[in-house]
Amino acid sequence: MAQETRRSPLDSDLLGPIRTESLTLNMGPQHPSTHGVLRLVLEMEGETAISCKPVIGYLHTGIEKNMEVKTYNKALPMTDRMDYLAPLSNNLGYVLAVERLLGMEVPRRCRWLRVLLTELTRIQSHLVWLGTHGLDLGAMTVFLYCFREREVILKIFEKVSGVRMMTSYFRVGGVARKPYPEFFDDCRRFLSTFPDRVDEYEELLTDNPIYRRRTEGVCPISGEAAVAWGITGPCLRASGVDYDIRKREPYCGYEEFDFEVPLGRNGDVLDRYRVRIAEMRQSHRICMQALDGMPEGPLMSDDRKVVPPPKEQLAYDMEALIHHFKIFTEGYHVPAGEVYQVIESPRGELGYYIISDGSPKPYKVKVRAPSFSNLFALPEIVRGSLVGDVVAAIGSLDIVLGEIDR
Amino acid sequence: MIEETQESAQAARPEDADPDVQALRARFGGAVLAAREHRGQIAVELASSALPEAARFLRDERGFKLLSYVAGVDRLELPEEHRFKASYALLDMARAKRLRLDVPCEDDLEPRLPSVTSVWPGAASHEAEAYDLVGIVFDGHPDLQRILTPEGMEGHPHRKDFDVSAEPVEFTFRETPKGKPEAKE
Amino acid sequence: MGLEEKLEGQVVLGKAADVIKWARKNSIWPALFGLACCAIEMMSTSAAKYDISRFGAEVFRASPRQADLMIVAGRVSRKMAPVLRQIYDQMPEPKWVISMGACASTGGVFNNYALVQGVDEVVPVDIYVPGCPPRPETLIDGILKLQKKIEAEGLYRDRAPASQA
Repeated sequence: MAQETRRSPLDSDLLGPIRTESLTLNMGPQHPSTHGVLRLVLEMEGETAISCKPVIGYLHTGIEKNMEVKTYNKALPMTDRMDYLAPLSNNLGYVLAVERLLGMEVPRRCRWLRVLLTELTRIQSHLVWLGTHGLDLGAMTVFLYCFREREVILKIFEKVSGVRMMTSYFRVGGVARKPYPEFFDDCRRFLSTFPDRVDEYEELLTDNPIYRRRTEGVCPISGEAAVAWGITGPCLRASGVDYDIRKREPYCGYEEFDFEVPLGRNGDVLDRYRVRIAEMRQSHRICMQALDGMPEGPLMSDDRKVVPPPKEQLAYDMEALIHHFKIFTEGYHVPAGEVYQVIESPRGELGYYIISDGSPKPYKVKVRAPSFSNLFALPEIVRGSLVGDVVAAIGSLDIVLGEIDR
Repeated sequence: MIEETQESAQAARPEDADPDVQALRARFGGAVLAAREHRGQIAVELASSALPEAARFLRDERGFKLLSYVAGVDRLELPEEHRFKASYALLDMARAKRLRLDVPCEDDLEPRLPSVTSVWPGAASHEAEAYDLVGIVFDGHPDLQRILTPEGMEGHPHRKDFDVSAEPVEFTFRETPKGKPEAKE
Repeated sequence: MGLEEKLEGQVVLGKAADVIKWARKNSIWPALFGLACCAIEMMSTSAAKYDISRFGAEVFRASPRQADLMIVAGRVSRKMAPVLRQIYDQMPEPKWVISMGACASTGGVFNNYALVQGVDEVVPVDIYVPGCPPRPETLIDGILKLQKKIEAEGLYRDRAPASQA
């Protein structure tokens, strides 16, 4: 730790070279700016961070192991609680993976509804990111404004599924129940005001000289380094690499939607901010297309071995009763095999690697969390920057400890 | 006649027609133990002896620059020859193509594999997680330590012989309403 | 009585204990201890729609030495439990603990090796708020119940020292 005779601005001819030491500073796990229970061991030379080591595991919940002892349907609510800022994204990834293992297709109306809700989730997640990022840098107004919009979205989620956050609304073979009658009007009303709100946030931050000083040129990472470290999502796109899974490997009907993928240039904190703001606007665009073009037709797949029959049928149809009983007690058998299904969550590439052995319970579930890879690139990103910049950099990575630790 | 249809059936198998699988087979020969295709996704079973070179080959010459994850899998209850394997998921962004590698560990009691951190630096954290949860030791890893479970914990939780340790749920404070029969134990 | 009449309504007399408890219950400042999903609902509670500072919980203090209340919001893993205890010990008296959510109260959805099945295994809890995650109104209800509890209990809590608890 002690470094002898380093050249320092404090050196003087009279006193000779000054001996400096580096300081090991512990940030967290309880800390306002670490966005969860993350511990950073910073080695600092004055105000400059020479190296930083993330220590995680403070939220390790053993979700993947716990999913192995539950049937596929019962394991679904556990997926909400991993990336808790975008629960419907997690649901979507899991449900698509299981449907892929089953070889099942869902109707077009279901796909479009899933896209609509997933994009609303993306907007809601970016709003939380923007609010907390502003809060880290001292802009508290942005936090209050973002949460104002978020409350409207959460109200819509609550009316659709019964829960504000951990909705578990997407199910294998469809959705939990059909949306309530005024659902589309509520979405439309929210989305009609949303672009003005995004303009409001931009007005507060984008050209704000204080914000620019704190984020422009701060903690950049190049595209090649980002790929080598496994960074995905808005952080990767901010470094200039054009890869959005919704465009390049479309799933769940995204190929039918028209949207752009915003890119950054330098990969600094300001670019990550810009990319996410632009993504909110593009999500709005996708939502409007989904609302305008929502197809008619059935909402769930009709495979009665997987999708429970409507409740009314249980009163008079014996076969429906048997299907209901088998699905909810034993579960449905998923053919043996392995699949790795990826989706573009608000944080990056969220992947579910599910191994099935033919039984009603998954043999192994491995969740590839985007924040896990993004976080461990942090030492590379903050090398040589000040402590305040470390705070800005962590905020800009948009990490969620729930999915890192699982 | 029968041989013809068998051969044409074999050539039509997607995993054998895949150019990356063919390139791997051409370069590493017998180290490529098997190739499987399931639901449109291709997985190659590779021997651990080929690992760092195959990783470098796939990254530099086939373009798989992004490593999505490294996962340790305990196949105790599956009908497989070796107990542990590591699964690698690779992505080639230029072609939007994914490939999975399954590398079985030779030793069932002390599984070891070479590390790929020299090829993809981002693999370091994934390999540490695989070590922590399943117990596979990666040779050449810069800092192999438990990252998710508490320090000093013994055992690897995601192994199949590690119990989930669910606490039994006790139904306490159960008072029988007046007039109803007592519940039997 | 006579004094109040002489000073003509400028003075209110009461017991010191009542005044102190009134001040305490109306200015409970929580410490930031958001762990997981419940923390997001806690943030929503402190945002503009379900404003928690109406009830006195104005500032979330980052330093436990300046806080009265620890809202354990989220699942407590076995690695986090010693940290939780340390933060609790660093808070000066009087202090209260609200266990927010199902995971903090009983282990919640996750009955496995990795989580402490209920934070009352680690710290003494005053109020348990159920939900997964609890609605902001539920958390506010919990804080109001805590205010009633503060009013009902004595000034000094007969607590065993931390080393014996």
